[in-house]
Amino acid sequence: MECSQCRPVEQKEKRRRFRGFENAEPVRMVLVGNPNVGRSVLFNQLTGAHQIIGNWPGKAADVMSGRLVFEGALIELIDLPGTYSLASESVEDKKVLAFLTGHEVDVMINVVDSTFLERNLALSLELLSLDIPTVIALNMIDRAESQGLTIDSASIEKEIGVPVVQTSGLKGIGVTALIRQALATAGRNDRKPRPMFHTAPIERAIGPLRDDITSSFPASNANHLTERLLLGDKSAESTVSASRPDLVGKAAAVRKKLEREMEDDISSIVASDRYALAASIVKGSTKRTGKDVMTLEEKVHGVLTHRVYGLLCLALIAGASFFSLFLLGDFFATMMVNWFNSLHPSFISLFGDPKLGEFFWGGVLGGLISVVSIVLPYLIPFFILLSILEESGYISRAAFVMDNILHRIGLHGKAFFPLLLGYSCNVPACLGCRMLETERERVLAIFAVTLIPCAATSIVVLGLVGTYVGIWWVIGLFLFNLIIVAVLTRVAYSILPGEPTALIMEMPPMRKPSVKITLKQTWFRVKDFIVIAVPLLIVLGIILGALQYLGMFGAISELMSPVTVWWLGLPAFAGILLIFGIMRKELTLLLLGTVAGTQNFASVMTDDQMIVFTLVVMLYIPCIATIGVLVKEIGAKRAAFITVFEIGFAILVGGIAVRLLSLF
Amino acid sequence: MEKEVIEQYLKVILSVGEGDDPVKTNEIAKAMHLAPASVTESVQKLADEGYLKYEAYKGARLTKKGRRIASKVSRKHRLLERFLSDALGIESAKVHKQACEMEHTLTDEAEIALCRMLNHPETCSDDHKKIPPCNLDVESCAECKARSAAELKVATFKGDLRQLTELSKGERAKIQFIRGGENVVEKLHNMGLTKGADIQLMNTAPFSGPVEICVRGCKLVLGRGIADKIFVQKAG
Repeated sequence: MECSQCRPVEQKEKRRRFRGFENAEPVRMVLVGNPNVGRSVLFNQLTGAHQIIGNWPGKAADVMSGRLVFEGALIELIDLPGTYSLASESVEDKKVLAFLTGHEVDVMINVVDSTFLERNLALSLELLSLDIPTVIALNMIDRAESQGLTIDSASIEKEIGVPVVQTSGLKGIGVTALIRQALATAGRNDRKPRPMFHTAPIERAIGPLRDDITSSFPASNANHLTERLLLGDKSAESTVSASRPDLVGKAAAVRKKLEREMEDDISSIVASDRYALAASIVKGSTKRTGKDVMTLEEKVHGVLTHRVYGLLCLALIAGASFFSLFLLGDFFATMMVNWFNSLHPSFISLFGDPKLGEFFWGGVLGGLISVVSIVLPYLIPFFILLSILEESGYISRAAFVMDNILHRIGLHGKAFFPLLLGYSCNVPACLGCRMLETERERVLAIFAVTLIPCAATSIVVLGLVGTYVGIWWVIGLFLFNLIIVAVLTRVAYSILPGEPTALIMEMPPMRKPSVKITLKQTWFRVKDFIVIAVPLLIVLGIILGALQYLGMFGAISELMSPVTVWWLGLPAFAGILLIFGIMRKELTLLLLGTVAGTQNFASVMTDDQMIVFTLVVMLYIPCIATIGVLVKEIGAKRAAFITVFEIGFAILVGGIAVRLLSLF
Repeated sequence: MEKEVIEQYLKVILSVGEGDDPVKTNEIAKAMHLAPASVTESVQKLADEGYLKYEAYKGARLTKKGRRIASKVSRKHRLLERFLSDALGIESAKVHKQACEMEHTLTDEAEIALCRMLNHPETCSDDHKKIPPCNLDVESCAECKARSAAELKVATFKGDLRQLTELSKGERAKIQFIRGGENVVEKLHNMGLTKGADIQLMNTAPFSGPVEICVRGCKLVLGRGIADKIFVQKAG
């Protein structure tokens, strides 16, 4: 059942769709809920936006907004990050509370995962204390039904006091009804007061305090304020202490009394209370039919997380992904670049002046070649694979198995696949780090990825050191690189500001990946990349083309010679190669013949020089496309820092290496 | 043997042997001002009860059990020394003897309170020996300082408590309390890991990695560090 009102808004169609609404005040709807309950699917379906959907918590780390017209009403839909509680101190959760209390919200749509009703309703109870008009969407109702759960929404409605609509975002069930209900509820404060907010003992203890607050602060939300005060929240304390400083003390007395009576911590008491209410609502409204048998999903899950089979599966899946991406990607990339290169002579002959021809070839087409040779062979298969791994829930299983090992260098278990696949291409690997839940974890993982040699870099290692020096040196270089990744990441882990987060991760259920979502996802991510990378690659191509046209290569190599020749002990032409390597790492090898004037590299470089040159190429700078992605993912400042650091680090290591090698 | 005597012996062996080295009976006799013959006899008894291993001519070496008691007593002893000299102002030559008598009757609860009151001292007052760490599962004294008295009460909770990670695969239990930083504990509470909640250990990852649990119908993965700090009581 596809809802015709909510189909993605195409750019062309947009103007027509919103005609007549230029000055209209939109109805503001906010989607709130636990992580991984399908808010983003609903949001995308309604607004036509392309938020990343996956089967792991923490995708929508930021506040997203979009607009739609529904049955003649203009709606502004806002998707807030997933949260487990408003009382938490985490950055994401604070964002949610700040938004809900700091903005005008006409109606809140609380998206609930019907298969985990108890925990989801615990949050609903907390949200209701905010006194915002609310509709509850019992999402993933199809999954609940297939598990043999029958949920009586009327009974939940009666218990909780707000409208409840059964939906399935993925299948499009109930979405129209949900929005219709939300519009009907928007801005209405006439709903029945909730029968109860707390279990009886808590209610008795805090009742007098709440009455005090209700009479002293009629404008504010008494239920919410009482609970915050009880939890000792500083901002709530400063709110009341202006006119009723005594209430802070009163709240503390209630807190002490409760803690003593229940022999428990206040945050545990309050959470227990909510869960107890949620559990009683669930008990009265759901029926489970069918036997509790071990499902196929559970069996698969058991194997994938098993201490022996789990590791075997991981090795198999990781190995297969790695080799298919690395080998196939490399195969297609080489094929494509060769095909482009075969066009070179006829392209040049189009221009009267061969120098002008080279300029356009290097400048405009060079950028295009880079884009095509990254996107088609690496990006698309990478994203399809990643999307399947995410959507099926396998990433979380792999994280479970790998977490301890990666933890030793300061990374989250989920960073495993981005790191591994970084060996094929750094660009999608950096984008893949989005799945990590906190910013600190993302920055660390991205930093580690940029140190990993991609397929293009591996071509240089194999083509130069592998051909001329020996395979053992190739293995040695890769191992050395791995040590550097581990050490630098560990160092970054200890100096990066912010608190390291211990692993608390939801294990999402296994799902069958949908072709539609996988392809959509892949397309949006590729599009993102093209938007970032194409301009950068073309601009850099034009600059390099212009330098070549003006015959500046010699001068530039000369300028860089203190570093390249004196410190690194390389031939002077290495300078210009390293500059081209920023565009695409393999250019450092491909252009070596041209710059050195011979295809027998052994005649222009010694073994030591080849090793040092390769080492520098491995470490010295993320390619321009990666830098572009870094800017987008972690900000210009951090991207610049990583770039400058890695150049400096590569030069340092290269210089030390050449001096050590000369000893033997 | 009396508890006080056992504790006294173990404490001396720990301090003379600096932990791991075997201690000869005449060294013990010298430190305790006793006759070597009676020391040998007592050491033999202590070995029979599993507090130490004794080999003639080599000496006595504490077992895990013995070492735990010894470090607990010397912790109490050194904390008491600090208390007597710092808080009560008794001159330091006299505090050792006094502490020796008090250490055996000091409760664990009083020991923790003393440590907090003295602002977590690291060494004792007379010979500046290191005070053994407490057996609370805190990562630092700062963490202990930040915690409320209510939590310290649960820290000395007695009963059939075990760490979540001690459960075997598939076993169910009830959560009794969670130790750790305020933010982590709060997050766990909000995810439904509250006192009394049913918890089932589903799986543990290889390489002593994280554990998978099931609470209130939801499956969660917790790092080993966190899981170790969740204390449960087995059902039934």
